[in-house]
Amino acid sequence: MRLPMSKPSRAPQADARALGSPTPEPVHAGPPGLGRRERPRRIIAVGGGKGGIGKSMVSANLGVALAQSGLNVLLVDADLGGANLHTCLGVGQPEATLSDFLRRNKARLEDVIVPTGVPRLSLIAGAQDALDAANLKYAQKQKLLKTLLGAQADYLILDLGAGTSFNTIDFFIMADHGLLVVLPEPTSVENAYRFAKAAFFRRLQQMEAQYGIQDLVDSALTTREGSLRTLHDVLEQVRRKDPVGAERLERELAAFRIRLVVNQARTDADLNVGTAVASAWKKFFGIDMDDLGAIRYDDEAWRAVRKRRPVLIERPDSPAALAIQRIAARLLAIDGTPIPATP
Amino acid sequence: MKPFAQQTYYELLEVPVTAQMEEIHVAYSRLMELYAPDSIAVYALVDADQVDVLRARMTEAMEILTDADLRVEYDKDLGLPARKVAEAVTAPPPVAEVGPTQRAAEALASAVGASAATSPVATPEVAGKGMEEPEPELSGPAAFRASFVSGYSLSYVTSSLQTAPFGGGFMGMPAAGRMDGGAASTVESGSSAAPVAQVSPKTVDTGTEATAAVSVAAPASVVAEAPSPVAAPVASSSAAPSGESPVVAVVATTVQPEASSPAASSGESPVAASSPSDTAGSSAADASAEAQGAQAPASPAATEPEPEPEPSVPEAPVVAQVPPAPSPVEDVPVPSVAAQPPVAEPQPPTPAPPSTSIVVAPPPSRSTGTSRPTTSPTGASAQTRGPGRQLGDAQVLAQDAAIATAEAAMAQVSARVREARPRLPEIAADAEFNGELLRRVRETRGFTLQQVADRTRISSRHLENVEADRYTLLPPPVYLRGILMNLARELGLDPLQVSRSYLGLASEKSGKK
Repeated sequence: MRLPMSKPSRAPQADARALGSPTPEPVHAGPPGLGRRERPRRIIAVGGGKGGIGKSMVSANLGVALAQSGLNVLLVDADLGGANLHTCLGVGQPEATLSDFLRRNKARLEDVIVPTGVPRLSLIAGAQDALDAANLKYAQKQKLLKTLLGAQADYLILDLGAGTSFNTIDFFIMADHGLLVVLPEPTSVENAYRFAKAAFFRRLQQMEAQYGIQDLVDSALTTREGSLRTLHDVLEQVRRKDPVGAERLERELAAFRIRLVVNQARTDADLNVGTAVASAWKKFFGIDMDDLGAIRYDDEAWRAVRKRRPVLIERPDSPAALAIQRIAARLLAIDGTPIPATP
Repeated sequence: MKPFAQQTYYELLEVPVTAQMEEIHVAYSRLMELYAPDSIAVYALVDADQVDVLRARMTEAMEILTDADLRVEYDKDLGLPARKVAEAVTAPPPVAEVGPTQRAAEALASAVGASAATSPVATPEVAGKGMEEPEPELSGPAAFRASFVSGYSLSYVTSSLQTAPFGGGFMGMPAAGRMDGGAASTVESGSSAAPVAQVSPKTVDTGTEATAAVSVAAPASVVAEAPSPVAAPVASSSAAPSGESPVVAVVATTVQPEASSPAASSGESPVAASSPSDTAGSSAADASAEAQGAQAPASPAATEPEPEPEPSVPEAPVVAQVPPAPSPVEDVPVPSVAAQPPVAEPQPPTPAPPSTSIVVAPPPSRSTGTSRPTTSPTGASAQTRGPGRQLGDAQVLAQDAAIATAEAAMAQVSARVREARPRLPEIAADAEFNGELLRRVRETRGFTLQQVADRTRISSRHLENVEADRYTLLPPPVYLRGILMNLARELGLDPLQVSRSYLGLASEKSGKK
């Protein structure tokens, strides 16, 4: 069964669902197309464009924080070419990985889930050795996205790789919370903006069939000096053709919220970078971003990585750990989950 | 989702429509920091030009919203309830506004500056004093303003003028009363499209009043001069005033203040002072006569170093202030109104005795008001007096200082203007894009060679060679074409046209050689 709204031509069913129902569904309501399987209550994707900014660290520790709050959390290492989430969590080289699932058609997702040693937190490790592990084929991606949507967990956390390849972006935009990790550095901010733009344009692209704006989106994505540089321009064009469609398009674009996490903040000014970025983004693109907060630069976090343990477990009282807990609490608050006292 | 180009000033500054002055300033400085060129938050977000445009818009917004009159006008345009008028009026008086006022003054100055620069009236006088330099610069900003704030700046001028006359009439009246008067005046003038035109009616009123009092009338000539700068509106006004010195004085003063205003309020006062004196001297004995007549008693006092002759020498201050009046005009009228009360108080008594003094007095009252808020009261008053009466060295010095500040301010304004609205020189459709033309376009855009090189990533050596038409030193056509396309794009020209034209020239010339 299809939802009446967005069934994107090239988009996985998962996207269709995510786009089609901006309002949160009742807990554990299965998506129409996925039989009786339960859907994760919420999907968090952690991206950021640039490498080495702490995406895996944030994912792992966020997973720990949410699990410690009493929720079932499934971490997925979607950084197919550079998987190392298992290392962040102190899980040895995993026996089963995502690539096993992708290669063998019959494997079930459950078969590749490994425990992490943290109660209620489990992991699907990323692909390891296969040469083309990072080059997910379209069908494989579809399968993965679909299956992930059917995974059983309260929270599904996707740790994405660097870059803005469609393999990364597509995971990002299917999430309920797109966490954008940013360092207070121009390089990172630059990539973060690029990533966010790519995400929104990808979303547009997936909706294009419905609105008949293929040409516009394509030109927006390809022109170098073209006039269609921002979403405003695209929307403006669509509006000229189809005002009602533009309204809906705008609503759906706005429904996708990017949430900022500033990592490795070294100064007090760095703590405000998230707000500034969100504000500038809104000014130019008219789309809200949320600032979830900043994580202080913390040697404890670095030491924890050296020990291959999440800092939240290694040093729960360190500034980094506290910041992650605050972020987790904020996410829970956004989702309307009563915040359990963190142990 | 609204691109910032379509946002209201309030949305731009992210303040509620009820925001107080203070709030607006805080928001403005925060945003300026956020959108500073080196701010990390805008790095790679959008083109640098877009950030510049945004900043220019924000500055414009701040200037309008912190100017009580302009804000009222703007709110009216937005369809906001009128109650805000009251708020706005009350808000300006606070000292905090000095900053805003100055900015507003700057902005207006640029607008006015244009008119002033063009206007013969202001120029001659100014020129005499050594203001010539600022004038040319002013034209740039003026143009900018015209396109930028056109409606508002104009209305602003008008209102200020209005208030001035009113102030004269109602010296002791409460602010509210004046506001009403201002509104009324606007209504009257409403028929005339140009703000200046509106001014004319008011001026006429004042003129009439003044005329009654002061019968000196060299004004005719003055008026004639004024019209040209101001354009049609002035002409109309001039007709009405017929030959009243007061009118002339008002016009002249207003124009001049604007010109000087860019410098900042502090600078303005001296300039204004000088201008009045100029007016007095050059345009006619009218102004001077008035001033003198009215001031005659006061003049001695004014000459005296005493900074605050307010009560005892109401008229003298008035005369001295007449010049400053323009500067106040530039500043927010409201502030002037607020400031007026004190000044007005001294005057009320005076009005009765000399009719002339009354006429003159109104403008002075404003000027005093403005000058005080902007600069330190004593200093301002001292300056005004000095230049106005003595016409001595002090005056010159003050003018020099004013000119210097004015120039600096104008340079700033014009720089901003250039960034915001680069004007292309006229390029014929079939123009040949040689290096010379490309250079002219670049300079019009206000880019240095290095800036273009940085943005296009074309080495400045290549750019130099392109602009100098050193065809033999340029890379092979394949690469040259890319360079030209990028350069043209950066300059806002048609890349294809430029590259085709330039490559054609290059092959032709280098072939001959």
